[in-house]
Amino acid sequence: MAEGNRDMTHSKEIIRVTDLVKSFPKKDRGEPLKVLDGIHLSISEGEFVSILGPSGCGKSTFLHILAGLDRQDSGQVFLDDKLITGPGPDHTMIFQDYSLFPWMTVEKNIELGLKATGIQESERKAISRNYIDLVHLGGFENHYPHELSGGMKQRVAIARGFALNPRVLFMDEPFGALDAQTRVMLQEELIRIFTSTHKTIVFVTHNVSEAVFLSDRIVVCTKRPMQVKEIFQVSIERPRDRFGIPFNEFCKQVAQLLNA
Amino acid sequence: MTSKLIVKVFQRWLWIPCLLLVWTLFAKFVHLGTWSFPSPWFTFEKWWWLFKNGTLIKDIGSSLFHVGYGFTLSALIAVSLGTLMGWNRKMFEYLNPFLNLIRPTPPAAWLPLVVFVWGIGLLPGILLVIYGSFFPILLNTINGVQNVEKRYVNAALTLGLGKRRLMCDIVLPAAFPSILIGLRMGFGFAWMVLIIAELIAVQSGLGYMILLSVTTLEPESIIAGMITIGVVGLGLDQFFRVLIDKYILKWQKGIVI
Repeated sequence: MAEGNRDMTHSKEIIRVTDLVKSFPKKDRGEPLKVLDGIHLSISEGEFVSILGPSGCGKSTFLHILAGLDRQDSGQVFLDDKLITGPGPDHTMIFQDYSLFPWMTVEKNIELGLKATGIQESERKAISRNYIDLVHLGGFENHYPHELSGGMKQRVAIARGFALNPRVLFMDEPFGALDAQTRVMLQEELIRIFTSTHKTIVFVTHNVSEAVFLSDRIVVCTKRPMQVKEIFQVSIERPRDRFGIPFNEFCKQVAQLLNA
Repeated sequence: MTSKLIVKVFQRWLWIPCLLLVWTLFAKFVHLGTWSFPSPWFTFEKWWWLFKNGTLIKDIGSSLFHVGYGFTLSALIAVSLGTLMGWNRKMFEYLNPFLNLIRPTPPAAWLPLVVFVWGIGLLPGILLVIYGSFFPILLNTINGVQNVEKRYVNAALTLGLGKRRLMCDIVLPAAFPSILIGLRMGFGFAWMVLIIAELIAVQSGLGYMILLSVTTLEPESIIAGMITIGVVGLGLDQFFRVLIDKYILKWQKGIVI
């Protein structure tokens, strides 16, 4: 793990994580709870990487540190060889609870980040319209989040993230709160958007088939304190057939390791 | 459908004939020394007369001006300070003990001191209105800002919002329902405190008018003035209610989820 993959020939390294350690202080002043135990990872540009681990293993904390929303105790996270020290629009995040702003319409939610980066209004409108179309929400521009279903809200959040044109997108179990059918539909849309935009995506999940369906690589993690157990390269060709034998064989293999 | 409506209207307005009946009986049988208690009809006649000759309008105008003046200043100060205290933990720790100390002193207790220092006139009335409406607005603003959900702040930060945008586009809108509730409560207090102030420290307005009616021995004017105070207060409160409904209902369902 520690070699850091500096010599990748086919594509450029975009994210490098070195020896990340994090503990949470315990309320009763006992031993601090160790969550991340020395994680190394290298992600290359245009890659879809899933962080797969059991519930409560620390993968969400890991992603929050990568996004700059939480601080590590030690270790470093580099984005394009620069240290990540805080949150920002070039490494934005999509959350499980959507985190749309309820006082803003769909359009305003998507435009907010663009506004903050100083893009002119006419251009903002054009970009947001483009991404609203991309997630098939045409006609809902002026709706408020509470008027949308869970799946539609997450589409808005996805549009909001992609509209910023970030270097990397972090997604923290974004489909975890959705019903199975909506979940499958959004996975397919995400892959469609991913293949058309070539954005780098780091995707946290505890769902094996979700990880296998979406990812180029799957980072399987241990229980808390989290460590990298093994990294799988998913070589099944896209679009992936969830009912095909290679897909299910792969899922089985990953699940066995995950639960071992 | 229609019978349901009739029942509803009946339920809603039944109190008026009942009140008038009790009031009429009261006026008929209760005597205050050589004076009899004014009957409803006599009171409304007086009210109409006061309204027509313009004195009532002038008094309402004066009271509204004072309450509007004081309340606006109070709202500006309290919302700014509340936002600061809600957002900045240190600010809160420094100021809160002091504010907690003066808060239990009711506005009426400040009246003598204010009159002693500034005499009788516009300023003491406005000062008391500011004081009277300050705390509900301040506390609700602090509460609103402190309880802005972390996920909204996190989402905003990952979208690249700077400090000022975070405040204007996220924190204040998220705290707005709470701030509006504070404003509505604060306005209720402002109106109450103003009337008290007008009884002592201000020589104009509805409060002053009912006080004057005591010295001119016109109990019907006192009651006419009281009714006016109530109706104007209710109207202003309804104004805030409509504002809250209109602004908040659009999106608040989204907060509860």
